[in-house]
Amino acid sequence: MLIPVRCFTCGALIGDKYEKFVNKVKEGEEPGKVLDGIGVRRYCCRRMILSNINIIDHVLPYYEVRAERQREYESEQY
Amino acid sequence: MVKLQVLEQDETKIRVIIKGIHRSYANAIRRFAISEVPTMAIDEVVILDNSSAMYDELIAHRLGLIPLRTDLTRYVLPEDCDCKSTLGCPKCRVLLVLDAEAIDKTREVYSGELKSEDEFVKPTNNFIPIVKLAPRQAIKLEAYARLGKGKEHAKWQPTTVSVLKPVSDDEDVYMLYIESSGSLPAGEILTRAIEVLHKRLVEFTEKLKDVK
Repeated sequence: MLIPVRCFTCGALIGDKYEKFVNKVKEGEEPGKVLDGIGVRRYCCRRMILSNINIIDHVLPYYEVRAERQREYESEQY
Repeated sequence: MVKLQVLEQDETKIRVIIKGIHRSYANAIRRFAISEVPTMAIDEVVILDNSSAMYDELIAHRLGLIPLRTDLTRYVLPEDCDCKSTLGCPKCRVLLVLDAEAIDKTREVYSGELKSEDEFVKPTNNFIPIVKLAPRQAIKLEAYARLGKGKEHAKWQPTTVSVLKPVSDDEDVYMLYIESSGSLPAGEILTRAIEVLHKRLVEFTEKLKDVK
């Protein structure tokens, strides 16, 4: 759903690094070098970040629309 | 002669050369660093409100894995605490609260939003995502952290990597490398591991006396 807090294999903290990684790659940097730069050295931790997709980002738009509908409905009440 | 030489050391890692002790004893130090040195981690969570897209259990699990800064001088393991209470007391547990809500924009809730009753015991990193909330979703919970050992659950492991490597074949010379998860400084993990191992061995010798 969201990026795991720790690496499955070694237990190192990786949760805080995903966002940084995605932003830097979007700016055009090379993924491998970005990982080196944020201190993710072992390949167990590297695959955690490289292979992750935040599924929650595909789910939340539905809730956003629902909240929007609710707001519209409430404003019509008055 | 036992010799210990520190090759490199900082908050997160330590690399030492151990000379003159048997391999089994050196390996015991490595294993104790993984499973016998206590650290602080969230263990029980009371969910007061959760309208997020994630299940209560999933959030509780994520909270448990967040490394918390640990003070081993002020806190004791619940089984060693004299309060003997299942609820715990100020000496064996810490309360953290999270109260977050998304008003009109989707947002991420980070570990930095956890408010701890103890200034010292708090997440080592403030940017670990816990949940993501859509507008009008909210999360409110009480989390109880306590000391625990790595052998009970990996969330209490103070180390990430802990390896022992022989340096020479004929002598007892080993390289021990310990990397911390963040809850304790790497140097303290090593000293505590040796301390606990020593205590265990003393207990064991006492037990042997009874057998005789």
